[in-house]
Amino acid sequence: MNDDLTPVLADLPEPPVPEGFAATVMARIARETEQEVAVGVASAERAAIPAYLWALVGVALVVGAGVYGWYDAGALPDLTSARIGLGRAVALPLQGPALMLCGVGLLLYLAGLLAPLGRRR
Amino acid sequence: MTDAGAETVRTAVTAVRRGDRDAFARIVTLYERRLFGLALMVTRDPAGAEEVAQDAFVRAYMHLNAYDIRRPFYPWLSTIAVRLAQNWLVRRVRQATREGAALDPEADAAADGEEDPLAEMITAERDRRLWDLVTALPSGERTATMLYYRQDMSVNDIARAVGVSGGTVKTLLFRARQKLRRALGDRSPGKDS
Repeated sequence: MNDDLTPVLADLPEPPVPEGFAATVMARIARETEQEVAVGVASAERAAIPAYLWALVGVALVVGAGVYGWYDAGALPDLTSARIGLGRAVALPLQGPALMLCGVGLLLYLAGLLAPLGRRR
Repeated sequence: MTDAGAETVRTAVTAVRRGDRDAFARIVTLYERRLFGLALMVTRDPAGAEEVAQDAFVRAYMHLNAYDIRRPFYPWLSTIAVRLAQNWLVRRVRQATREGAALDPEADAAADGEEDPLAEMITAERDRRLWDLVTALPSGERTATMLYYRQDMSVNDIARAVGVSGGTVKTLLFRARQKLRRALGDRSPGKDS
């Protein structure tokens, strides 16, 4: 579609660029990149908070269920003894709802622990 | 673009993707004049053109991962600039409508005592007349004309940049050419006498 207008229009001079244009662009890029990084870090930290909380809830549930299980079975270790737990079978005497709570606690703990891996993908 | 220019862009893009932010300055230096000229043609406002051209470079940097390194860089960059310039025009019209101000940037510039920076550089009488005619074209025809003749963009690239079909671009170019030829013919010395 070349025609007689092509050489005339193509040969018109380019307007001068405002002074310091490239430097301004690079400064804006630097500012926006840093802002983006800061926003990314802040949002990653915010996103991690629920995972930490769920992991803590999981740990609390497992510990609570374990203590309840020992208490319920009358097998609480004697914390005043110098030989805590010696000679007792290492077992978690949990049954029914306490066992289920312990399982849920373990799942929550694992979910919280592995949440950062899921976000990174 | 020359092979050297294409090589500069390829090297710079690769360096930026590896984390060397400053390498993008080479691309800015290579295209700043051409892109500012394009933005000025669409907006007809030096301050608006500067804003649009800056935004286009910043956006290109931020979305550099979307650029296909096997394709020429400038059509991609100018597509961003044209879209931004169109948005700028829309914003300006809305603002002017809200404030009841004039919509013609040339009238604004004249009122401010500014002149089109490119018009100031064109000294030959015929070229100056042609430039005045081009800037007086309706926005769509002016943009298509400038992208085609001054930015060396193909009809398909223009269609992508402006967001219309290739047929529409051809129609805009046809109308613009007719108007320019008619106006140049009408104002030639032979016809004036």
